[in-house]
Amino acid sequence: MIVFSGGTFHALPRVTMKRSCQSRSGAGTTRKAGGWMYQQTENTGERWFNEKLGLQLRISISHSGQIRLYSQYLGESGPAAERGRAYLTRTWSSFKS
Amino acid sequence: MNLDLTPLEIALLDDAGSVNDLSIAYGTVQPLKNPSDRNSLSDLTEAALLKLFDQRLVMFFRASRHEGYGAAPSEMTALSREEIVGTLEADRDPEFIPDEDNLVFFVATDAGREFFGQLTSDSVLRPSGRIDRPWEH
Repeated sequence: MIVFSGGTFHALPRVTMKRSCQSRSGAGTTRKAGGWMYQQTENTGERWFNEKLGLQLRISISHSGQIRLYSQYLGESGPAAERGRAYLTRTWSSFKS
Repeated sequence: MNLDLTPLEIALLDDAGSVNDLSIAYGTVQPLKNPSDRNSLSDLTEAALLKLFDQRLVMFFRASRHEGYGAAPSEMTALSREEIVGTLEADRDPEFIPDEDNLVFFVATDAGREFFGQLTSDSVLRPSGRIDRPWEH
């Protein structure tokens, strides 16, 4: 299971974002033991991965301007891969204004 | 432009505002349609993505996971419909492991961006949270 938790946002002087993502081992899976992954960014389109936890976090901006955070297990793709997402209420442009 | 898109197709077009891999599309479809099994999820996702492709609202390309999210779509080789179908069909096999150096990504075309710009904000659904797939429990 991937769990998003927390998250802080600072509009000034720079856009900073922190989110965490936890991976838990499950029966019959190769996923890594649990832990938290924290990242921050000043740019959209970034992604980060943590080999130790076997997790990927990625920030994306939709057409409607929403900031989205996606989490998935490394090495998995297709219908089973994407496990968590958070849509932030503020748009990216609102941080800049 | 007057296209008859469903709320699900509009949600996927919203996803295509940035480059995304196919797993994001499945993750959008799951909470909106609550399919009862993996095949249904694949059916729904494939139909919606192909409709967007046929309307020339999105394009698909191959790249590595490292390069794909930040790729410039105009510099990538667009996949044909047959190649897209082949990828989505391969995804149906639970044992299929995609090549991390050759994943399929999708992103809106100029026509897709233009069309999305004409939509009202309340026409866009925004699924969120953990993607629950009951057949995996």
